Amino acid sequence: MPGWVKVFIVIGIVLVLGFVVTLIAGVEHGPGLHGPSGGPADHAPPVEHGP
Amino acid sequence: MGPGLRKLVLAVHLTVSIGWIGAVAAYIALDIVAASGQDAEALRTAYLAMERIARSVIVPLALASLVTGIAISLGSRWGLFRHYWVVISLLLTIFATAVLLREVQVIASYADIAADRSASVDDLRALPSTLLHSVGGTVLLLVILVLNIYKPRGLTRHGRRREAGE
Repeated sequence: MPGWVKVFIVIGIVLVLGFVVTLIAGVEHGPGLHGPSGGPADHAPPVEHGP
Repeated sequence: MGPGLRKLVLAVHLTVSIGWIGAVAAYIALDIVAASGQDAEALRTAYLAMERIARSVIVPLALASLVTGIAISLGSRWGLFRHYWVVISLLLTIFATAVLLREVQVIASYADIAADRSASVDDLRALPSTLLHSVGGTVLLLVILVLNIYKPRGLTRHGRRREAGE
């Protein structure tokens, strides 16, 4: 196997591991779970409390 | 694959592959605005345009590049698994496409937030930057481009067996 292929394999393994870590981290910290502080949830009409 | 069809597929492959790099360059210009912008309207416009470019231009070009790349390899003397440069180009293209499809989900969620008029400039500036992925993706595409132009030597085990059998 040529030397340049071995270099690419090492870089490839690092890239794939980085992507997998990003995917796993994304499940827990994805942007979908971080809505803006001024998002719709913060602008919901006040709940009317009964007497 | 006949010579006429091979040239047509090669022409399509070159067009969509170079187009992919060009579209990512346009995306990066918007990504820089998104990463450094101070104005809410500029940030909103950047995120909405990034989502549109990614979904409507970059993803179709990436998928077309992958499919035509496989087709041209199988239809030419290079084969798909005979030469290391072809195998590595294929793997890098699959990886770049996988990262791209993941990024589209992220930028779509950003665009949803940007489209919400109640989101403030601070909310938009707080969104994590995607610039690193954009620049990294461009570097990856340029590496694939260089591999395809220089075609460095090296036969795989499968390629050596095929050559010995021919």
